[in-house]
Amino acid sequence: MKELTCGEARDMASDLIDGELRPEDAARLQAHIESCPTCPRLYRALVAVTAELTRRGSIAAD
Amino acid sequence: MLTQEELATCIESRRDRLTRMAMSMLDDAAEAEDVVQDAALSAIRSSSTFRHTADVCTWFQRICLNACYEALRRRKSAAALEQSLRLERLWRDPDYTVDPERVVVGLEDSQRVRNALASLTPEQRAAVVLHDLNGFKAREIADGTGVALPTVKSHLRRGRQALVSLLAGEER
Repeated sequence: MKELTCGEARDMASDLIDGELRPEDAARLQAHIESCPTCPRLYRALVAVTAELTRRGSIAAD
Repeated sequence: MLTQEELATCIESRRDRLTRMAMSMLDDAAEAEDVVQDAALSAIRSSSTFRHTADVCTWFQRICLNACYEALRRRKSAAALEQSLRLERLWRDPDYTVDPERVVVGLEDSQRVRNALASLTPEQRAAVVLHDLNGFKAREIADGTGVALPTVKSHLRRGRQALVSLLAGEER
């Protein structure tokens, strides 16, 4: 299994958040995140931004 | 044949929601109302082209979405494009990272979030606002704006990455 670069992993993170990543790619991304010193923090920040925007959107729609 | 009554009912039932969508994309209440009103007039004028294989409200929503997207694109800014390229380079740097706690703190400040959204390129802003704030699927955005699906996803990805960097306040 070819290892991802940080750039590839960061680009795939958005699709993972949206549940649109194929299982094999999700596994590769997971493997990268577990071994990378910089990407996990970016991933956590991406999750936080997406969750907060979605929350604000749901409030506005009510 | 679509009747004017059917269309008017649909426009009125969706007007508030679509105006909120336009407002979140354009960040300008008066322009948002104008865009939805123009979209309503456009729908009325082109109602003869409507095919009953589609839902009339979905059709009107698509007209609104496209009108908002075009209004946003007219605001093309060299500064937003330059910022986008700079942040894209940053995210390709394996040493680059942020403090997620700072991003979470930034997210608590509504004005900072609005400013960060406003500084994205029009295409990134449209993708993020429609997808994350308004709950549209990437496919619906692609259909409504006429932009290819992979391009919509790319704008969404870059827009989210830019928001992270801007809210972390750690650009360099």
